[in-house]
Amino acid sequence: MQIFLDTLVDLWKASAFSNTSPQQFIMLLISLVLMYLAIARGYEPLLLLPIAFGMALTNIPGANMFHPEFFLTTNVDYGEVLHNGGLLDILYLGVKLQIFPPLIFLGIGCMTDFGPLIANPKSFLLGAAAQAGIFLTFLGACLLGFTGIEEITFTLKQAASIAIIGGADGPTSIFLTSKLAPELLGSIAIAAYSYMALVPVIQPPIMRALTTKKERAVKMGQLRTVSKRERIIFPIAVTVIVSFIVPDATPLVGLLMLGNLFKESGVVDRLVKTAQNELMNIVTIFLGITVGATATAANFLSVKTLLIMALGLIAFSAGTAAGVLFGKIMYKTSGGTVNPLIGSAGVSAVPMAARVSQKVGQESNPSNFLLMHAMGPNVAGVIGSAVAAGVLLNILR
Amino acid sequence: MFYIGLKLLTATEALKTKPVNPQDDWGLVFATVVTGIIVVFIILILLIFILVLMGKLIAKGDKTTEVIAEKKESEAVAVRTVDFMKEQVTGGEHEIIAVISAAIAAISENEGKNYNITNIKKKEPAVRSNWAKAGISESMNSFVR
Repeated sequence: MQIFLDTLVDLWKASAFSNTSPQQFIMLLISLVLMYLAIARGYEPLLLLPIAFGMALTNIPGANMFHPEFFLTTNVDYGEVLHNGGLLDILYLGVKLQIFPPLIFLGIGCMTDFGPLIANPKSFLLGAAAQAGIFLTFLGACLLGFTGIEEITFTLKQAASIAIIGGADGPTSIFLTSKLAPELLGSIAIAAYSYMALVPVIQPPIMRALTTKKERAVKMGQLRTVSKRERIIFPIAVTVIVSFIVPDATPLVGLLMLGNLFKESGVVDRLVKTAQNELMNIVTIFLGITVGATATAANFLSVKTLLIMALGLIAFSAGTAAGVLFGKIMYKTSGGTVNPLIGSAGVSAVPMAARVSQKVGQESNPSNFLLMHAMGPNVAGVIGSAVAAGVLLNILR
Repeated sequence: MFYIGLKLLTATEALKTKPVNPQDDWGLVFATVVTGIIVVFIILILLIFILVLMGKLIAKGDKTTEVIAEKKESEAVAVRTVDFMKEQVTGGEHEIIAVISAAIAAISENEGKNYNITNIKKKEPAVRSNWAKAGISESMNSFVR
């Protein structure tokens, strides 16, 4: 009987019930909220659900599925990770070694149609303008250092990782943050995917505030036909040019363009199907759960997390505003043929941002179909945010 | 611009030897912002030039091979359309045929191909054939208990 009671006591002592700190309990509650948002509200569930569950798993004491201390040093001891690491430590290697985000981009490239961009290359300007939000937020995050309060001061690398949220690109945010500021990966990933899901809520007020009804009602001409040869040359040309100028952007841009070349070549249908479906789904699961696992109580529950959420929102809004303002410049210089609303699609939340441009355009002019025109800046933004990440990595690594 | 570039170069060299907070080097912060925006614009503008050039070269190459084929086809289309309209048109169907022809012409222009109208036939209201009815009853039989 005594042995039975002792065993029960030992079990209780080893269980998470007696070892959970209040902070871990709060993290478990937060993960439940995120699961609710993903399942009930449909907020980017493909990534938010695994992120939320990874957050729950990592904050269960005694589970030992993830050890953030293995990865915070510059020189990671991979032997220790393999010998003493849990499941999520091993899977996290895909994030740490920059494997998962480029593979996600491979799948995205297979699913993206760059036709509207090739038909109207000026869309690249709108894609570039929207990335200004990233750099303005970087400045804003750095300026917090003026306060002198250590709790709300970010290093240069942390500021860059927060700023990339403005690119509205989850894999790019994870790619840059895992290299520059891995301690903030959980917060930044959650902020990035949450704001991507909130594009239809965040963008329209900014778009309406910065444009007049006349500008919003502009109907744009039909896009020209894009030949197959152009569609095949495009990914090769982009890879060569971007990689030569910013080699650090090669993993993202190269894999994005490889995926697109698979799709446009028409000769590797099996590879396209795999990249779009099985590969993308597998990597999404691994990426989501491991990124969520980095959100331990020690990393996540701080004033800095709230600041990251606030700065992320500023980055997103600044990117939208910069795109719309540049759209207005193009409206004026083109003699009123470019609708400024398509500028907001320069944030790379494909295709949601383009749909928002379409919806807001139709409010002013029900016969206006801006979707395909907005897809140009939208996909240009994917390339633009990857280039911006490469530039930041090059300067601050 | 030269000053910003120089500041960026020297600051980047300094970064390699010690960790940097913004307050350690504000010059680097502003240089990063300006350089980043400019580099992103430069790269994407370069891509615009490449795309425009590519579009022109490919369009030029496609045009020379298609010009002869198009001439022959457009003559054939004109002849066929006129003959067709002479034979088949009755009463108020003129308008419908004109609308259909205009739609086909618009599609031809957009896709760069020539579509020939060979026949316009009025479709009867959808009535299932006996074969279709038999197929449906066979499929639905599995749900009958």
